[in-house]
Amino acid sequence: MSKMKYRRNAIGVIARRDIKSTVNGIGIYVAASLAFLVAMLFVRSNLKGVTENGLMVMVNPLNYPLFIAVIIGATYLALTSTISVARERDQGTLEVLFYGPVDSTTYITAKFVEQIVTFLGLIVVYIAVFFIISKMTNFGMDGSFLAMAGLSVLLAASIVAFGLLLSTVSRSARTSVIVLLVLLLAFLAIDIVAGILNSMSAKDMSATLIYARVAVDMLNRGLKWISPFAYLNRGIAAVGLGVASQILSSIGASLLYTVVLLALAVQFLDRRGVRK
Amino acid sequence: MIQTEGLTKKFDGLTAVDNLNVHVEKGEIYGFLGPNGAGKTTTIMMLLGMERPTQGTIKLFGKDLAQSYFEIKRRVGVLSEFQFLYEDMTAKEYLRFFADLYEVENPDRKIDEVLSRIDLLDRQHELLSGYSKGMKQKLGMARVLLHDPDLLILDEPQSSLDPYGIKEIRDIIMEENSKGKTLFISSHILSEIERTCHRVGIIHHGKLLAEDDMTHLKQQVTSEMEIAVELEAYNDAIGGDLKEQEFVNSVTHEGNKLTIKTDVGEDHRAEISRIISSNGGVVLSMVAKEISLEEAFVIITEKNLSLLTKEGQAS
Repeated sequence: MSKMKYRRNAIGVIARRDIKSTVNGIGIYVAASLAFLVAMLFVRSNLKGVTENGLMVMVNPLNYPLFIAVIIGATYLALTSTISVARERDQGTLEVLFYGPVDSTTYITAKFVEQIVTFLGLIVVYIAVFFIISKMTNFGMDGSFLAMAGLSVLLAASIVAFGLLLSTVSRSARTSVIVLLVLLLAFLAIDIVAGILNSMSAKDMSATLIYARVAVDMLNRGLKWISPFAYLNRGIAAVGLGVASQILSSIGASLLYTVVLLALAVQFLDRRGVRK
Repeated sequence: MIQTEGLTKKFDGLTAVDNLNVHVEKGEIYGFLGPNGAGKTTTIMMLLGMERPTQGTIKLFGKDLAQSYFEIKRRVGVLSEFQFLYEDMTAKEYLRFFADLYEVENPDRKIDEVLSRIDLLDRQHELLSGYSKGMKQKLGMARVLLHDPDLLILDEPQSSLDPYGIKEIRDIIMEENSKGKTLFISSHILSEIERTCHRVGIIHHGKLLAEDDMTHLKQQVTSEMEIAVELEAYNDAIGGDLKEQEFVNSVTHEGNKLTIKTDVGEDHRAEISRIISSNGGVVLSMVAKEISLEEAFVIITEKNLSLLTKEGQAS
């Protein structure tokens, strides 16, 4: 049997076990419920807008609620993938897997597949629920809704790869989560500060503040290539513009980002080792 | 089956394993001994490709692990000192997971078979979180046997087991070996190693100090053999005659009990018996007192006594 066949079998077995564990756990249901709850608040707000302001037309009223649901689902994935490798290393089960026909590439791929399959399941449920809401509210679901749902899988791929990379670098599950939260908060803080500084008039700013604005803006632009959430924003903007080349380039960028991060995760797992 | 050449591992300037040359033949039970921190686990981890050697080569089944990783790993069964299990699974689910990983044929039949061997068949549907330490250890052994590996690497296989469990594992080791399987065992229970292993390697401070079969190993650390003889009645002629023999180093007696010290290497018991008879004595019992593996191990490691030549062979 070829190396690829051995690897494919191991990926399938590990991913199946993890999917079963996810389905039997409570986390995914809490995340989905939270996503629907928040999304429904936005749907309700849109409904209110229609009834109170007498709006006749609303462009893609379900797209933003879906976006919110996707962000919550993806954040759950970011957390679980960030914990996954580090937790299994902490428990020692990772070492036992590597006694057998499992190597770093196999293991990271299995974890990635498990998370993506989980997300696909989540997206199918999202689409079904939003379809029912669409029928109940008469809010339309057009091609852009499905395009966004499709693009969200790429976001999930980017986020899972990001989480797996953090998980292989960190020494424990707790450290992984702390690092993830610190990074996400840092991304957000830099984005907010850049927004504030950019909104200020240069005439009212001191020279130091102008230099700070340039520096923060450059940092923010750089982070747009590091933060996985930025890839969804880029994709959604492209879908909104309806320019095929931009949609394709955002898909390509997401895929490249995912592959690079997964390759780095494999390298780090190899270097860091699988022992506690 | 296992061959390492010049295997070395350094961690931050500290040499954990130093130029290790280990050779394990097909079908043998090899005991890998050493005090805590000697480099045993690091060596095992390198054999399994889980630690990268700083220097040296490893061959399993005559092949380089990096070249034939999956092929080799599917022929090896590994039991570690501590059992890390998926505690949300039952024993049956746990073994099924590994049976699928190794693509075991007729997995249900095989799982029942290995659970029977370790006497856990009737507890197969219990969650592993409720298993005792000994049961977990035995389940680990079941996992090792599941895919019928040609090489079993066992790190402290009998730790945390009661005497019944120790015997069960010993019986499994002997059964597997009788089927032609090769076993590489690292253990601190030297009496078990002495009972089961054909050859042993002793590692200390990362260096292999000795690698030989039990008899030769013991002979190398002691210059004399002690023979205890119980006579019906002692007479001075017996003692006098024995002292004159070239192979006898000393003779002492206490009542009817004689202690004779001879050079190691040859068995002189028949000759001693003849001398006693020719002097009118009657032998009630005669026991050659051998140094135990534990004593040999202590002598070798305490004195850092290398019994290997530069080529890594037993001297």
